[in-house]
Amino acid sequence: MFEIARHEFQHQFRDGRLTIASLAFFALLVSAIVSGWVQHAEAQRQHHAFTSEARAQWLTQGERHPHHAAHFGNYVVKPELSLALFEPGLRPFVGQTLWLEAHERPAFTNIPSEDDQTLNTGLGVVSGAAAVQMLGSLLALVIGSLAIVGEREKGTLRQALSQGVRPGVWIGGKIAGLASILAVPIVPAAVIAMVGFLLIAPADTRSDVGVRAVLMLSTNGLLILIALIVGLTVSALVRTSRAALLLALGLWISGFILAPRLASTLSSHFAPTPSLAEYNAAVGDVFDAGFDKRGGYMQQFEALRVTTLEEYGVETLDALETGYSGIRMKHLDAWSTEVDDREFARLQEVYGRQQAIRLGVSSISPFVAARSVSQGMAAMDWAHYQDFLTAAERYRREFGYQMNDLLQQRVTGERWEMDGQNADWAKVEPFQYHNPSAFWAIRQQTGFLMVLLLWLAASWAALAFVTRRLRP
Amino acid sequence: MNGRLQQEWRLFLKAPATLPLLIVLTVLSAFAVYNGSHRVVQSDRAVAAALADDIERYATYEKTAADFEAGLITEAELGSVRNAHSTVLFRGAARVLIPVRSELGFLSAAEQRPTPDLQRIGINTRYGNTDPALDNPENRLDGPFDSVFIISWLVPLFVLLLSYDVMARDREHRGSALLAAQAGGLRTIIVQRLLVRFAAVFGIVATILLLGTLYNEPDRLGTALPGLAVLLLGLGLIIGFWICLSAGINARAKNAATAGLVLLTVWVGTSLLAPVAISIILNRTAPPPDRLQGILEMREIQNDLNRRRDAVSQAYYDAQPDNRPVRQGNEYEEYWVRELYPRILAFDAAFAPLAQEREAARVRQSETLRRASVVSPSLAMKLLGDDLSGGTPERRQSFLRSVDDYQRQWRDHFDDKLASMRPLTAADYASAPIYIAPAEDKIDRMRRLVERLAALALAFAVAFAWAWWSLKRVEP
Repeated sequence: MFEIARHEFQHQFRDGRLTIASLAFFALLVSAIVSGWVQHAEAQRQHHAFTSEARAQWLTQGERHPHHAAHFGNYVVKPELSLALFEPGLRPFVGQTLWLEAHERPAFTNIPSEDDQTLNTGLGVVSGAAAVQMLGSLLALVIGSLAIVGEREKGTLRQALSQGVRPGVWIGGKIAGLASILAVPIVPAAVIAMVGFLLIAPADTRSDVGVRAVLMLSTNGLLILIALIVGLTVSALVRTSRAALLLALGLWISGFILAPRLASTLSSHFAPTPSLAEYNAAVGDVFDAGFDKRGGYMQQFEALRVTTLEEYGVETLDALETGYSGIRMKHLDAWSTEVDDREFARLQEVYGRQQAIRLGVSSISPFVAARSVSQGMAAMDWAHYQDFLTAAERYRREFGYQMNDLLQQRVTGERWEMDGQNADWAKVEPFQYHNPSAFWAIRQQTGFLMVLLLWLAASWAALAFVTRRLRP
Repeated sequence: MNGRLQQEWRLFLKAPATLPLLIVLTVLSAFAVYNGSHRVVQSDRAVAAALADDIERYATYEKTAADFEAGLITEAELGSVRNAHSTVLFRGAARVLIPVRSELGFLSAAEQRPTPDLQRIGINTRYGNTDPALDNPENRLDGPFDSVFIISWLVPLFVLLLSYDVMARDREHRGSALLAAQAGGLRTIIVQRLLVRFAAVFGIVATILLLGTLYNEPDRLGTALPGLAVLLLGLGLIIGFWICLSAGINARAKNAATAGLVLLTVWVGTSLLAPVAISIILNRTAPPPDRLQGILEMREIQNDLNRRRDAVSQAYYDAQPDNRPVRQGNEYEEYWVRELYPRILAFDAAFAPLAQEREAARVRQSETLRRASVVSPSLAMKLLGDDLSGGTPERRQSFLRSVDDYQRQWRDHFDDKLASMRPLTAADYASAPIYIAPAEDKIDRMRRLVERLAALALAFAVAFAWAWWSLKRVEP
């Protein structure tokens, strides 16, 4: 098998077209990595500057009512791992910043693709990962699809099989040889990327980044291997290289161009995300009407008045020695939090259904599965963004409570007007967030990882099946 | 159709891959039109509901105020319609403004588009009001499955699949010498074969786009059909570009696989890599507006105005002495009217130039992108489709300018009553300014479309010249 692989490697490299294609692909990968590296460094610098400036603006906002300060809010930035230089994932369509203000659950608004039209110009081959996934797979499919049929057309397949080599061994050698050819541009690029990941990563995250990087690069390698095996299967099935090329291209178009868009379209049709207006209307209705036999806000407001009077033993709210406005705001926020959590859980179910549809589509396109795993390992998938959103929402509630508490402490009775000072704003701790561990990321991607392994097994079995029936 | 062409047409249809490919192209094109139509219907529904709410709200305000003035209802039944801070200053009472409909909106199924389907405008500033999208960004990652995608990226691939071996296959089977001996020679045969393929692909896609136009814009055919004509001209040019490349390559290629690989490499280069290279270059030469910097600038202005809030209020009332409050409001009213309203005006005065510069940066990037698309027919076609479906920064800029003009009128109309806390009357509501969306500047619009078509025409001309040169030297 080693001899066949070595022969295949030498034979293919004598073909100038493949040498040029490999060199061009290597140059493309290195350019994408270097460009990603430069952009990542620039983005990190900008985000550090933004975070410290936004924090300084919070701290120096001057005298302000605590509730207005809560509406002025805080900006937080999602930290990125160094892997984002290779796999930017969803960043162009989500962004990194969140505005946290009173009453509102945060959602991503400063989306780069809304400002930058260059992010919507093509089919998305902007990063190293996308280049490997789309172009690497195309290359693997094409060379795989021409490998056996080319020998058949030249008559060398008959010679090879007549020498007593078992077809399985011969195909194994072919796979090893062709995989070696594909490794020529990809492995050095992967090594350069790996060095970049580890050099940029802070020392305390380096091991986590290392695990994630290995998994991310392996997943991309696995996708290319699957594409190669599928290409070889096609090649063993058809009689002419024209038909092999047509079939390979058809598979690439359907699996790499149509399937991802189909997944998005099916998700939007069968599990539509509510618009912001619909979501807010649903929250507003429950907020006013209540749920689980609990009355709406006006009923609760009245109950709160009664219980506060009883608790403090006073006749009127104005007689309170504490700020009823603060108590009321705390209650309002607590109630809106409950209502919002309920609606948000429904929204999560919608996202879950969309993910299930995507998983279903990945059964006809390993690209969808591999890309999802790759993004997950780079901490740039929707699961990681959701985790960041959850942490940011927790922080928003905490500082909102602090603002309401300030109001309760500083006024009495039903009074509302008061001003907090810079010293009060400084008591709000800055937001801290760390990306979850690699093992958490793997758990989020288990389904897609399984699909990829199934693809590998299925394509291998298909190749084994056609190999047994291989005729010159 | 002459006999030879008819024969080529029959041979084309008999080829085993032809019908499946044409059926798939038909299904995908129809599905894309359906997706775009669905998006237009959803958008129209949301706009209609928002408009109906808006009209009803202001009709109720006006009627209630009129009933009160006619003595039909008492002050207790009046509610707050005479207090401007409770009605027009209230964020939920913002007017709903709708941009002029684009010629062929159904071409795009994108949920997030440069020009909003509607913009709510009231007394409050529009700049801090960022409505977040709740949709899963994974659905945006690949872009929508719409007609712009079909005509820009998929149609070239189908042309490639249908035409890559028009003559290379015959050379491979050693049949080209026989064909060369026929009347007209190889050149005529290649041209006829490619004309048949052009007709098939163009015919299918154009028919579906025409049906989509008739279905989606039955009342606006006067503007939609010229838009469709421009789109079909672009479609013809991009199909022509790929047909010419096929002709040039088939004039020389010894076997079908090589011809296919060369065409595929050109497709990867012009459709995948060129847009990426353009993106990287444009990020340096025509960068997008810096959103993070914009946020910091906005918050700095907010902080500054907050620190100087008394001075800001004072400056407003000094400049408008007739607007001084005629009565003492309650705690909330005092805040909203005396403090916040002057601050909103001061904020917009300070931030509007920065926001306008951001819009201008988007337009600059769009103009540069348009010129750069000359190296990528797929990108040029996408930009043409985006333009006709209404997705351009220029259209957004034009709409937002008119929105700002309207907001100025709206504020001016209610300014004295709001700031002075004098009661609003039915006449105030009845005479409120009405928004009329202005059409885009026609010359600017034509210039954009011509530039997009020119990029496609240039690509076609180069491919045509090369095909002509190659076909003159075609050999069996």
